[in-house]
Amino acid sequence: MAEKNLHPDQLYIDGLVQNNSTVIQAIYKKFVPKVKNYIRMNSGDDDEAQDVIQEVLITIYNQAKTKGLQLSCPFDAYFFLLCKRRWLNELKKTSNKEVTLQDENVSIDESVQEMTFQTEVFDEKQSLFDEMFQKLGEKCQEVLKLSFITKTMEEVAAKLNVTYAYVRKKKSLCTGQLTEMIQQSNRYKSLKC
Amino acid sequence: MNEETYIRFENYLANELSSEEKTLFEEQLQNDEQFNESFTLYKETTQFLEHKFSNETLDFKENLKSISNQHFETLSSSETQEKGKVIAFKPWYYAVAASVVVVMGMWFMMQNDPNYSDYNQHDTALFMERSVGDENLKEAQEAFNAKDYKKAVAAFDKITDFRDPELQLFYAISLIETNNYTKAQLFLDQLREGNSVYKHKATWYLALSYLKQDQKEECKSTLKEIPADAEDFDKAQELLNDLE
Repeated sequence: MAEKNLHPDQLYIDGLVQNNSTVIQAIYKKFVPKVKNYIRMNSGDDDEAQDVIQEVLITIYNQAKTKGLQLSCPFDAYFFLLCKRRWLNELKKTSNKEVTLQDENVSIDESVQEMTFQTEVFDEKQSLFDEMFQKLGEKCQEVLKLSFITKTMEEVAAKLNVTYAYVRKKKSLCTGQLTEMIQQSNRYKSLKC
Repeated sequence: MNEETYIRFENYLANELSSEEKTLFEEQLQNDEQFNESFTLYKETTQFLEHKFSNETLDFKENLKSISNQHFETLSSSETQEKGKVIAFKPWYYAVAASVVVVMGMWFMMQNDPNYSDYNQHDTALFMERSVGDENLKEAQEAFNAKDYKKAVAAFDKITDFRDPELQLFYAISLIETNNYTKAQLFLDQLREGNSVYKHKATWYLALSYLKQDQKEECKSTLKEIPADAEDFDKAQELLNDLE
């Protein structure tokens, strides 16, 4: 059903998913200068622009890779709005910076808003998962990390010098613990819809 | 949820339950809402971790970072150059500059025969970032970027898997550079019929191939196929104007 609204700019999303250097370079060439100008005009510098842009591209990649992302609007508008909103959030956090907002009156297409909203919700969830993972005990973090970067659980057991059964059990309990921490956080409750 | 439940979740995801246990598990998923909710989150958390630590994700981040650095570095260096140029400019310089422009303009107008070497500044080949370990690919990339197209073709010849459109394009460019037009066209036509991002780029290179062979009419009609939203549209229009 969503297929019929697919925008031809989906090729940029697909290129990111495939880690295609030519496509990524094309994104930098075509769409990044506008974002950079915007950030410069709004109390930012090139380093900050570079970070915002990278974070947004990683978010798009994460969403496309794990949830599938079907672009229903031009990439340019979607990408720009994501970067812009991320930068404004950044400014709010460090509110000692003076904010001079430009072009706030431009109306934004509905499909662009919808796409941006989805991506932001996804990102919010992702960063919550990340935050909770960092709060897990060291041992749990290690077991989980190893069990996902190592091919087999047998190898993980060997690396940690424990039995296979132990590492399997530890992995499920640690994942379980992580899910509980996520579930109990206030942010998760507000995200659930 | 108790420990037992998480171990069952894990075993179910790893497909290590007996068929009886599996049926039981799936029944519970349907009937027990809380169980279902916990399992959904467990699955989602597993996917999150899997993605977070996958090699693909790490490769992507690294590649992105290097492209981003390239982009921002070349940018800042060109800006410093511009700043460097702002020096006191005496009025009579304008006269000199203006006459230089006039002379150069006239010279350019007389040069109305464009040729291939005006346009053969190719993108840098960067396909090794993704597939580490293939020696031929690495050699092809290095030779290509060093503009040693003969060597690049030799390396490409040894590669068997050409499903990646990026490889097809760079192979085709190397073939044009070494005057191997027919074979280049085979790859370019394949790209032109496909739906990759290189679709229009392939048309542009086909036009350049004709230009290099001095087949101006074919070159012109191929250039006209490039749509206005393609990356090479402006260059194509410029070349068309020069040819007409």
